[in-house]
Amino acid sequence: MKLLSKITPAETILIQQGSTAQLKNLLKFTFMDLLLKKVIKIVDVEKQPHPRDGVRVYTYVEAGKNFEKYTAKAHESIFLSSFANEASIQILFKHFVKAAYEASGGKKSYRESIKSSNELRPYFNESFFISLFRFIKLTDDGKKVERAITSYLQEVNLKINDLLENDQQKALELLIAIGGNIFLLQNLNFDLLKKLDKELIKQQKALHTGNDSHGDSWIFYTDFYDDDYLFDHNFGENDSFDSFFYDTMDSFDSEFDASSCSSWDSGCNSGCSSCGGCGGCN
Amino acid sequence: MTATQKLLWDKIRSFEIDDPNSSFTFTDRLARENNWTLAYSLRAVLEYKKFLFLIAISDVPQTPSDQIDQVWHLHLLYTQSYWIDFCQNTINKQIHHGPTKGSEEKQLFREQYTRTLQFYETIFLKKPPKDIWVDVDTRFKEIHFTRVNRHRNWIIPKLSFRKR
Repeated sequence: MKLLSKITPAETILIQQGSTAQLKNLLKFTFMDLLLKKVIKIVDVEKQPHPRDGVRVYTYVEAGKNFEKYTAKAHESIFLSSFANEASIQILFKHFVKAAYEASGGKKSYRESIKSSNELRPYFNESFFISLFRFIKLTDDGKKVERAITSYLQEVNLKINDLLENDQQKALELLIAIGGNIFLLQNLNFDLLKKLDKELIKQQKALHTGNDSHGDSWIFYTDFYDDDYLFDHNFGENDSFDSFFYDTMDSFDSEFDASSCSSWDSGCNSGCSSCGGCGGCN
Repeated sequence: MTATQKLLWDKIRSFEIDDPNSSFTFTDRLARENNWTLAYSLRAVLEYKKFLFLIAISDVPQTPSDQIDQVWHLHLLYTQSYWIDFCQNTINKQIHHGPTKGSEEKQLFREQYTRTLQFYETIFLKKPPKDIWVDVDTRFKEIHFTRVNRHRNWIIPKLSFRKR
């Protein structure tokens, strides 16, 4: 299934689910795929701004080691634009997700940006009225591909854990071949990935060097399997990534529109008259 | 940048104004009050930190762009974060904000702003981003801001025949 090595999980979901694909899922899987490819990375930093406070852990998103050489698709670029402007910027996880959500332009707009990739263009109907109302309709080729992807992923899903236990080489080949679509394998046990033989991964890497049978981005995925600092490490053993991501997204809806302020200790008791421009400082 | 300056810049860069446990953070508020996107606001905060760093390593006054000034104004409202966590505990220096005394200082601030842009380039070895550090003419021309109650008013942009 060569196509799966070239398309991102968000693209796969759009082919499979069409207009019922949830924006939250499309964004979440794009984010996870970029993490997997090490285009972005998550870092936890302990800080204590003031002795009165305890040490707190801040979770940031930064540009990853593959950021510079990675060519982003349109639906990925909304996650990366901040780093393109300033590679050294560290963004709080919740802001990162919120900025991407804001930049997605909503469900229809984000679906359009996913559809715009070269790999997907033949599979979606682009007739005038469909484009005008931004509907999602597969072409005949698209329907064939949708069936093929669904059946292939079902097959891999059924046998992947067994292969990871008994035939790591085959398992690794399969995983690399489907790239970020591993997140769509509901049965995949991520703990088993940590047990992958490092020597085997090196062999796979050497085997595929100079070979584009898996598309341009396979190298980014082998980087992930070659790294002990695995993806789910950042969120602690008890936190599921799903709830972490979704809770963050849900919090945007319930944002309290704070327009008041408070004071304590010496506080401000004379109100604030603001100032009309700044002439610098001394 | 000298080694000492680099250490200071790392401290300022990693200083966190936002409270990650708050549902409406400093940067959220900055974005809302200025009608900026969150992505732009995040970049403006980083440029603000660069500006504070330039002040901290310089013996002469520095002048920010209006965008950075808005970040500064808001940070000043978070008095604990600004005075205690940042000035006292992070850089150990008191950085005061000096509003203009009037039009008689206009030329002075034009010169200061120009020098700040040059100083930025010398220290960070790249040009300041133009969408945050606007050119000197725009900086002192587009200064007519008003607080508007958007529940009671519409905001309609003026027609412009010149490309901005």
